[in-house]
Amino acid sequence: MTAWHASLRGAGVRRHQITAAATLLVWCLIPASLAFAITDRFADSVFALAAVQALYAASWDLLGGVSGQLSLGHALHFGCGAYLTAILAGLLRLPPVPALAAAAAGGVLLGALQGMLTRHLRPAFLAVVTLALAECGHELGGMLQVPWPGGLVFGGEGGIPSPLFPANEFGAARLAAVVLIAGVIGFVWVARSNLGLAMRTASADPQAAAISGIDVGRVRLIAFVLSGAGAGFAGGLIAGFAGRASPSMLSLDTSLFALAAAVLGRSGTILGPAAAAYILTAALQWVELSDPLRLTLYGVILAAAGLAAPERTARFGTFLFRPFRHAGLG
Amino acid sequence: MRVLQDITLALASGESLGVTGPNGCGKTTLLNVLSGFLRPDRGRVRLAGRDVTGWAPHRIVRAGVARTFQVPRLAFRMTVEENVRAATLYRRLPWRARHETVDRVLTSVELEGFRRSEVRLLSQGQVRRVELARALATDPRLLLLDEPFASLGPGDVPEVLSAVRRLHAAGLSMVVVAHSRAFFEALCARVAILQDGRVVRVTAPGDLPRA
Repeated sequence: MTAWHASLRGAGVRRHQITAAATLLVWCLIPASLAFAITDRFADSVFALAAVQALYAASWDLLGGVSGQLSLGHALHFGCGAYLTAILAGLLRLPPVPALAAAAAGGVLLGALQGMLTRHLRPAFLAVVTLALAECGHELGGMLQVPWPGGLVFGGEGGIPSPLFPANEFGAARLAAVVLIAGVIGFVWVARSNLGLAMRTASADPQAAAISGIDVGRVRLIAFVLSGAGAGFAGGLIAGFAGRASPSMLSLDTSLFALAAAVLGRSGTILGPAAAAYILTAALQWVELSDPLRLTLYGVILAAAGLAAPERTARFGTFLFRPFRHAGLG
Repeated sequence: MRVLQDITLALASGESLGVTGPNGCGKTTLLNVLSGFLRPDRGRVRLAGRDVTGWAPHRIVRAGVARTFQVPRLAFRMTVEENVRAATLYRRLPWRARHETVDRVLTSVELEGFRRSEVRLLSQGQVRRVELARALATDPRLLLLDEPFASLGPGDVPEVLSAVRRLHAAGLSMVVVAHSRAFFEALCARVAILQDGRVVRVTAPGDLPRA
């Protein structure tokens, strides 16, 4: 190899990395700009919700896209995070920060549980087990009755109340944007790290990973834990923004949303599913689809992705996120 | 159904042992037992005096055993460099040392020009060499090669054979499963002949019947 060839190749590597960094920067600026520049209450409430859903989708993508574990029950972490926050902040009067930390910790524990149960399962059985666990959570959430001060009892399909935080929509949009940016950067960092390489190798071929000295079970478990933390935190934020934790946050609808976002945004890139979730959530807020129609929409997206040529579905995301692919993502 | 029975083999440091036999006699099963993908019902597997019987494959790799597969097992949609770098992760090397290790093993199999190519775009011979590079990246003491020349075209065999011979010359212990007397003569001092799961004979490569 000549010196100029080596320097050109080195320049090529750096160009991809610079492009990837620039893409990440631009991506982060968009939700931040929307949240900090626009002061319309409805718009800010939409941006807050969209940012939280984007964080939730990014957390799923670390698990399903990077690590290849197609969980159909990601709502379990999200919904339990919401319920934990509502109970701790509403019933026990904890400040928002520790309540949110507890939501993330709850996501970690549930992720560890799911990961331990599924880490040696084949993909189809992993999907079934995660779906079953989430549906158990959904039904339990619907049955949960929490005694409240003053002789009240909250629960059932109506859920349980949570104190609103921050105090208004502007604060919610900005907090959500900051959390989204931090979360996405964190997940991208993991995906690009040695741990992310181990996850992708285990996803591509578990035997190839094992013969590379990678503890596949441990790597899969870590993916569940990190993903659960992100989803749990997102659920906690939703409870604070909505003023309520409800069984719908544990529903199949919520789980399929993450998959639909991953399919639209090209799973494995983190940014793609997060962007797709952000846009899809915002669009659905303005269109105001009913729950059954929303679930139908997610089903149509997933069916279309499965039936159409995968390359076509991924092309849009591939074009946008090619630098990240070269940088080792997706 | 007994696939292997009464197998007792010992390998000295730096030695290369060939394993051959008809299809279905248990050659790959033997390598699967040695590399942890199968647990024997009876008997022990020892590496440098340490009992590794029943260890998970990743633990046996970390103990110093690397292998290739009859049908290559790689992350085909990842690049050559990523596949090789993944095999250095458990060693917890500093970034520069990891980079140098990847460079060194890719150079040893003459694939440094393909480091950013996806494995699925390579020829069969190149794919075999990527597997070799990945195995070397784990810093093994023992290398298990499962039919490293299978499905190779005439143009690819010399590349792979050359890479394996360099490893042999460097003193790496090897167990090579193959069918060709010529390969054994180039690589091994002894060849174990398996039949119906048993070692029927251990002989010099020159005493093997010509194919």
